[in-house]
Formats: sequence, C-alpha cells, structure tokens
Amino acid sequence: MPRYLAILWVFVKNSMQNEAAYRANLLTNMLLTVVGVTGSVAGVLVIYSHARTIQGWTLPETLALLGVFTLMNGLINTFIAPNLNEFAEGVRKGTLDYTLIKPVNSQFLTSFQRCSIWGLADVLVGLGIVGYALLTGFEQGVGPVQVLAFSIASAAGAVIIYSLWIGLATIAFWTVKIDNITSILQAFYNMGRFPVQAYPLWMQRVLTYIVPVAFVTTIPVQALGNRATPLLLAASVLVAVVMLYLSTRLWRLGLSRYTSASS
Amino acid sequence: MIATFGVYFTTQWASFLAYRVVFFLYSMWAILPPLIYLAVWSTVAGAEGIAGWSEGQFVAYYLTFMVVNHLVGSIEIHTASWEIQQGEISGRLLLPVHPGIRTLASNAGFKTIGMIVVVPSVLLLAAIFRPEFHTTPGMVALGLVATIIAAALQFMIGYTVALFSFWITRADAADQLNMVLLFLLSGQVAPLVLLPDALRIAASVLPYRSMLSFPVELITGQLHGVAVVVGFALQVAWLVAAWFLMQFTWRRGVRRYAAVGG
Repeated sequence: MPRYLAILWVFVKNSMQNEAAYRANLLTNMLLTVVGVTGSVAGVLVIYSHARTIQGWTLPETLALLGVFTLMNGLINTFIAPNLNEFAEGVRKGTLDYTLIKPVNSQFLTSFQRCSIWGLADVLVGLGIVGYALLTGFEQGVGPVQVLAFSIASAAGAVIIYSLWIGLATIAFWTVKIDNITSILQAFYNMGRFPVQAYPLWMQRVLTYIVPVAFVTTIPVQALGNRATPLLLAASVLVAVVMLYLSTRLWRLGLSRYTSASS
Repeated sequence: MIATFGVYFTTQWASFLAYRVVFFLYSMWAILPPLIYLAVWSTVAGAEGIAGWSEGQFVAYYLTFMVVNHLVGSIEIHTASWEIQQGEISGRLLLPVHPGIRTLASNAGFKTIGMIVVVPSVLLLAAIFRPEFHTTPGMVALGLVATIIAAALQFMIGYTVALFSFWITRADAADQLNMVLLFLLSGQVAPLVLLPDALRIAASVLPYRSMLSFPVELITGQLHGVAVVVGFALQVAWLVAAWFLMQFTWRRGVRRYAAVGG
C-alpha cells in the first residue's frame, strides 16, 4: 500500500511539472472551473428562490451536495478521465503491453498513470462549497460524528464512482471504442447535482440500483446532516466493496482477452 | 450554392449513418441535461404548482425545450474548430466553395439524423410525465419559424466561436463559457419568467433568449400580442449582428491562418 501511494505521488508530481509548462492553459482551466461552478450554484439558487425546500432538502444541504458533486467530478477529471482514452487507444494499438510489463498492478497503472492536476481545482472549490454550506447553517449541529460519517460515505462514494468508470472502461477489451459509453455515464453522473429525492420514484430507483449515483452525492450529505442511519452507511460501504471487487474481476476477465496487436 | 449544399448534405448524412451509434448518443445530450430540470421542477411544483405553473406545464415546457434544443444547438466547436486545428481546412480553402457551407451541411445532417432518437425519447417521456399544453396551432407554427431563426443564430455564433481557433488553441474554453451562459439564460435551468429580474433582463439583452428560449415560449403558448412581435424583432436584430460578426471573424481569421503540419 505505501508503495502504491508513493507511485501515485510520482504521477501527481510529474503531472504538475508537465502542466507548469503550460501556464496560460492552467489559468484558462481554473477560470472555467470558477465559471462552471458559478453557473451551477446560480441554478440551485434560482430553484430555491421559488421553493423553501425540495422534498425536505434545505438550500444549505443542496449546496453541500453540489460541493460533493464538484469534488467527485474533480477527482474523476484528475485521475480517471485522462487515463481512459489512453487505455482504449492502448487496447487498439497494442501499447497496453508497456503497462502490462511493469511490476505494478495493471489496473492501478491503467487508472492512475496519467493524471491531470487541474481537476484538483474542482476538488478544492467543491470542498469550499461544502464548508460554506456548513457555515450558513445545517439544521442539526454538525459534530465529529457527522464528519466521520460523511468521510466514510464520501470514501465509499468515490470507490463506487471509480468502480463504475473502470468497469465500463473494461468493456474496451471487447468493443475497443469506449468514449460513447463513458459519455453516457457522465450524463447519468450529472443527475447527482440534486438529491435523488428530487426525482420521481422510478428515476430514484435507477439512480440507486442501476447507476448508483445516490451513493456518491446524496448519502454523504445525508450523513453530514445526521440523516443517514448506521444501516445506510453500512450498505454504502458494502456496495463500494462489492463494486470494487466486481471491477477487478471484470478487469482480469477483460485482460485475458487482450492479445496485443502486431505491427 | 444550393446544389453544392445538397451534395454536401447527402455525403454528410451518409457518413453519419456509418457512425450511427455515436450520433445517436450525441443526440441524447439535447435530452438528458434538461431532463434533470424537468424532474426537479415538477417535483417542486407537486400537486399545488409553483409561481403559477402547474406540474404538467413544467413538463410541457421542458419536453418542448428538448426538441428545440436539439434542433437549434451548435456543434461547430466539434466540426469547424477541429478542421482548423488539424489543418484539414487547408485543402477546403482551395475549393471554389466557402468551407462554411460544408460545416452548415454537417450541422443540418446531424440534426435530421438525431431526430430519429429525439422524437421517440420525448414521446416516451411524455407518456411517463404527462405534459399539459395550453397553446394554439398558430403559436406552434410561429414557434417553428422562431426555431429556424434560432438555429441560424446559434450556428453563426457557434461558428464564430469555432473560428477563434485561427488565433488561439483553446477555442473550446470560449465555447464552454458560452455554454454556461446558455445554460443559465436560455431557459434550461428555469423558464425565463421564473428567473430573478437581473438574469431575465440579461437573457434578453444578450442573444441567449433569442437562441433557444423564445421559440419554446411561443410553442408552449406563453406569449401574446406585442411580446411576440418584440421577440421576433430581437431575434432578427441578433441574426443580422451575428451575420456581420461571423463575416468579420472569418475574413480576419483566414488572413491570419497558417497551416500546421506537413
């Protein structure tokens, strides 16, 4: 484990050095983050200018949820998204060979070797929104217990969204092209901007059982607002563990189909 | 000119059909983002309604929005901008036809093909969510005219932004800024009448209402009398302005163009 963390740190450091060479680009990306988040926040404010709550969710709670959404989006953009297209190319051209011959877990390398640090701006802004939402007032007080529950639920959420992405990406072993599949996942993930309770029942079911976006944004914020039962937290962790396990199984299965490509 | 467009249109259509899955998925982007706001607003409206809007009216508004959104949307940042960045436009500049005609044909081809996905999806959603339309055939007809103007307007603005690629490598940043404004001010996050005054005025002063919201307002029967005339006048004014802006950007850009690659 410490070895993998050290490797991850090397990837992040490399990425920082690369990006530092393109400072104007970095500035543009930060500007885009700010503009995008301002738009999302304004959208939430417009809805709350007409309604006091959405199915029991107050404005600070929905803002906190938007913060978690932005944070997770930042993690996806930093670590997962830049790697996936590279991976699909690797399957098509046979350059995945270079990943496989390294003495490190191939799923780990494929997921994290190319990170793009400007996504971390989203992570920071997301945390900022959560902090602001907490200051403007959650109805119940937020103590260490809630923060702990929130951390557990968020970690589980991050694992779930990671497993979904990598699981879908693995399909590239069979179909070679994946950008379409991932764009559909992105569209579903966008529904995590609002608590699942804001959607009709059939959509709630889809977002809980089929594409479990509910675990990524809704449940962590419920935990923060002291509205998640220990059972719900346990379920969240269980789903995360099962999905991570399934994603590694799928990865192995896909890998056994990989035959490289000759030139 | 029309014959050239026809040939381009047929070839683009054929090439899109070859990659149909991709284009079907792209068309979902006109539907899924507004679906979020359709669901949230109809939940908020509930049985009593909100700000004078019933649940069914929100549904009718957003379903109309999805179809219009697909018909007017700009895709030039993916087509024209790409051509310039990759230097593919070099060869096309030598032809005795403006490269923009080909870009326009891709746009029209994508939209006609996309309807194969958009129409059934919207009908399915209509069966699930139960829209409530209060409109007249006349308003729908006027709305279709406004949709065509809005499509022309979005094409010109989208093409102008794509042409920024002549100067900068990150024209997509300008496009994303445009998208955020479109999200807020074109009636996606909420029907414009429900926006706070400042944003609603901004939507009319800037071209964003004319680019998408106005035809939707017409089709759903929100506008009467003078408001209809004013809306069309704004659309035409923006159309003329966008035309000159596009011409200006094109002339300056081509003069500055230096092909990349070998």
